[in-house]
Parts: sequence; structure tokens; C-alpha cells
Amino acid sequence: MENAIEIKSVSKKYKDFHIEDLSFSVKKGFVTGFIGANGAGKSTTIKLIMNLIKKEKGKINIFGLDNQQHERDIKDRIGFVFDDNVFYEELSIKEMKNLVAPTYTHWDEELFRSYLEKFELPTRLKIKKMSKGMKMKTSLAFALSHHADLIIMDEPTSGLDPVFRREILEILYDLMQDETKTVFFSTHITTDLDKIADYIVFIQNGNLIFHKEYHAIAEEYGIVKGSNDLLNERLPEEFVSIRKTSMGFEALSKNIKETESLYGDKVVIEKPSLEDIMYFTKRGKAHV
Amino acid sequence: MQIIISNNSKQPIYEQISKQIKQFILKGILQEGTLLPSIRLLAKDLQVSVITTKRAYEELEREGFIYSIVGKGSFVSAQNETLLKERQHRVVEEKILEVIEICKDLNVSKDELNKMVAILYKVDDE
Amino acid sequence: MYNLIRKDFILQKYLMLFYLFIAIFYTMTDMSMGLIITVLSVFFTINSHYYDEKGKNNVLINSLPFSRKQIIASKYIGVLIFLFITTLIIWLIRFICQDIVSNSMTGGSITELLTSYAIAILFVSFYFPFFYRFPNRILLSSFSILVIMMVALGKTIVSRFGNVMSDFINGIHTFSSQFSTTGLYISAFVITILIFSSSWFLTLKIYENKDF
Repeated sequence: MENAIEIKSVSKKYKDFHIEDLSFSVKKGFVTGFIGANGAGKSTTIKLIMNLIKKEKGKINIFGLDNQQHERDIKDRIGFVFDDNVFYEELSIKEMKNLVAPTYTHWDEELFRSYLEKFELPTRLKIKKMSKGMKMKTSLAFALSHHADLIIMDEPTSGLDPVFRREILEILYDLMQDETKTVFFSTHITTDLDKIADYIVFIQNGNLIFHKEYHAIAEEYGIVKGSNDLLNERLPEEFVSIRKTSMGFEALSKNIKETESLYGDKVVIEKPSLEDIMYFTKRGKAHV
Repeated sequence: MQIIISNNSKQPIYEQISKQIKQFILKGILQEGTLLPSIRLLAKDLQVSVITTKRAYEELEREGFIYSIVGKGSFVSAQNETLLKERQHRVVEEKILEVIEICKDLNVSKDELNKMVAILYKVDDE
Repeated sequence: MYNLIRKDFILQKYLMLFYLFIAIFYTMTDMSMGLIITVLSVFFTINSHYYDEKGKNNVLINSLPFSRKQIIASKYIGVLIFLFITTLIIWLIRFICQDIVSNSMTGGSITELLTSYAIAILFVSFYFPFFYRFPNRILLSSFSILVIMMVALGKTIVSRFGNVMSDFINGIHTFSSQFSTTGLYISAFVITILIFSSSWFLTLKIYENKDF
């Protein structure tokens, strides 16, 4: 089984937004980052994967099994972290643990305790009294303590300080020592992805823009900077969008080899950050 | 084997890694048959993604510097003398070609270049 | 699924004390056993639903290794278990209090118990599908407040309801004496089971189509 998650032609319609014919897969043993602007459909996609939302069309396989037919077995092997706190606010971590632990086949009490210690989490404090950071760390502790094969996280580090984000990355580096573990997480903090993502899935308006190996992105995409007189009426195909000022233009090219052969050294081509890609893709052809 | 990577360099990280390992092999610091760290362990130590170290190793394997055995890991290839010398020469040749290009651009003659090489080599020896 | 049922009980851990208090208080003040059981079951049902709908808790439950089938099953079975436990505890309280108070306590007849179970089950059969389908905050809150008010407003309303209950039970006695007892019990039993099962099935369908 090469893919931990396989999404095939999935559709889901809402009033003013829909996911149409979405297909991509998440490779086992690697970290796949999931990016997109707010409202692009990241949370919706994750909820579709977790069967929290009913898909209208298509198929979703996790560990090679249909995510609706084998829901229980699949969820036994998934550690999840959601953006909002989903735990019972009235309970303490200890009480939550008494609820959650018996539901997992491979719950590891010692491991859980070690995470509580490491994250400095109080076991008897009511969850509603915790800060956002502590709530998130709690979610993470639960997600990591039952030897899950797949960790799914929806914006796990939003609102958390950079130091803790580093610590989470370190945990992920450790986790990835095991080639049977897979991580899939959505985030706005693209610098975190620069440090650990193996693959990137980018969606916008419910559509897949690309699913690429991280390094392939910098090999294909680039920020092209040059003077305005280089531009014709018709812009190159590979320009995703362009930003013109009186000083010159800045464009995102999705095929820098083409761009290079076209303009040679009359332009500067720079490595794009994931943010650049998101920004220029969002602008789209509208601003061209 | 110590590998230092720069996040700010223009050179992709996997290239930095493979280049440095290549150097160690060419210089003989990494002996033939040495077991290299697994791609995952290396990724963790360098704090990079697994795909980065995987790429680096794939490149090294493609160029014949290392070979992999499934389940065991990656090892430094036998670098027979001639092959090693050839590779080392090739690295130098590449650089020389670059220098020659610059000389042509700046109108530096072959003789001037040879003189410069002789002088700089001596300077280096001191 | 045992864990799901256990969860519902754990979540109402502190409420259980309140339930116990009500049980003791009303037993002491000579309220019929069946009524107490029904009232407590209503509380339990409402809260059992409430805690899961609160916040994002349904996201949690549906992310844990449970199927939606199990989740709904745990709700229905949980109420039945609660009925059973409450009966035992109230019976125990009455047994203990008998020595202390030495009043003869009203009720405790089989008919009364069965009627109270039937009412509780009918309540559940209505409550779950309705409030899973329309989990409107306002509806939920007003309903809960209504129930709390009824209890809080104390003995007057409740004992008046108690009178209605006794009249109802007397009515049933009179009505039932016209028919063969066994036949009646069986048909009542069957009807209640049918309503309960249909409700379970309906709630399951509603829940399976829900998006969280």
C-alpha cells in the first residue's frame, strides 16, 4: 500500500462553495503539507477524509480501505488534531483520557504521560480553563499516544508561538523515523512546511491546483522579475499571474525553463516561497 | 562525516548534501563500503524533510558514488583508482572550463592564465 | 460501544449527584416511584444529547473509532440502562427509608413501574429524532429550561402531575381490567418496542446523513 490516503473524484456542494472532482493521494511514510487560502476547502477536505462530512460523489480510501465501510478500523489508526478544541470543556485531561484511551486498541499510557510531561500539561485542570496553546498541545498528546499510522492535522499551529512550533517539528522529525507513519496537515505557516514537508497539495476554490514533491516546486516555479518593455500584448502561457508597477513587473512562472529560454538573462528568476505561489495563484489571470 | 547545510543558499539543500558527501568520497574520507546514515536519520539530524535526503542519496546513487541494498541501507561504492581520478579530474575540468569562459569574456589570454595558475599554485603551497 | 455508554455516564458524573438528591428528596416527600423514574430519565436523556451537541464534541466522537451506528445505539441503550439503574437505586432508597421514615410509600406497583418506563421510552423516542434533526440552540435551551422549571417549581406542579399520573394509572387499571391482563401488557409492550425501534432507526438515518 503506497498511499495512506487516496481521494478520487470527490465532490461536495455547498450553497456558495463546492469541491468538484477532487483527486489526490497522500504517500505513506512522508509528510504532506496542505495549503490554500482561507475558504479554499482545506478543512472541508479534511472533514471529508475523516467522514465527518458526507461526500456526494467519489471515493476515499485510507490505508487502502473505503473510509465509510471500514470507518472504525481506520479511525483506530488515525491521530487527529483539529483547529478548534473538540474535547469536552468540562473535563480535565485525566478525565478525557479515561474516555478516549479505551477506545483505541493501541493506546500507550506511558507514551501519553511522557507527552504530558514534555508539554507541561496539567492533568487535573479543566480543559475550558486552558489557553489555546495548551488545548492544542493536549490534542497533540492524544493524537500521538495510540501509535497511529496516520496523523491528520487541521491548522495545528495557528496561534502558537514559534518556539512551540519548532518543538512540534522536532516531534514530527522523530515520528518520520518510522517509514510506516504518514503525516498530513494543513497550515498557513508555510515556513513550517519548508522545513519538513515532502509533498505539497495546494487547493483553491475547491479545486486542486497541484500536488507536487516539495523540491519539484522550486524546479518548475519561479518569480520572474523584469522591465515592463519585455512584455507583449499576450503574456507567456506559463505566467500564472503578474504584478506590474511603474518600476517593472513581477510574475509567477510555472515553467521557469520556458521562461529562461524566452527571456534569457534579461530577467531575474528567483526561487518562489509557498506564500508567493499562493499569492500569485490567487490573483490568477484576473489581474493580468 | 559532518554535513553543514545553509538554508539561505541558492543551492537546493539536497544538492548541498550530495555535493558534500561526494567530496568526502572523492577525498577518501568516506571509505569504500562505509554504511551511510539512513535517509530518515540523516533528515532528522539535519532537520530537513525526508524527501530531501532521499533526493541527495538518489543523485549520489545515480552518479555511482553510493549503492543501496534494500533493508540494509546505502554504502559507499568501490571507488577504483582510475575511476576516482577520472571523477576528480572531471570536477576540476568543469571549473577550468568556467575560468576559461571568464578569461575569454575579459580578454585574458591563455598564456596569462597559465602564468596565473603557476603563481597561485605556489602561493597556495606556501 | 460500552465506552460510548460509559462516556455518557461519566459526563453526567456530577449531575448524578443531583439526580440522587432528587430521588431521595422526592422519595422522602412521598412521591410515586414511577414518577421519579420518569423525571430522572427525562433529565438524563436531555443531558445525554446536550453534551454531545455542545461545542464541537460531536466532531470528537465522530473522529474516534466509532461508527455512527454505534453512537446512536449507545444513546438508546444508555437510556435503558439508566432506567434500570435508577429503578434499583430508588428501590434501595425506599428500602432504607422505610426503616427511617416508616411511612407507607405510595406506588411501586408493577403497573406503575412499567407505565413510567413506557412514558420515559416514549419521551426518548420523540426527543432524539426531533433534536438530532433540529438541533436548534434556542429550541434545545427552551426545552431544557421548561423541564427544569417544572421540577424547580416544586411539589405543587409535580404533585398535580402526580395526581394526573395516579389518575392516569387508575384509568389504565380500569381500562385494563376490561381486557385480559397478559394480552394488554403484551400489546403495550409491543407498541412501545415498536415506537422505540422506529425512533432508533429514524435517528440513525438522521445522524448518518449529518455533516459535522
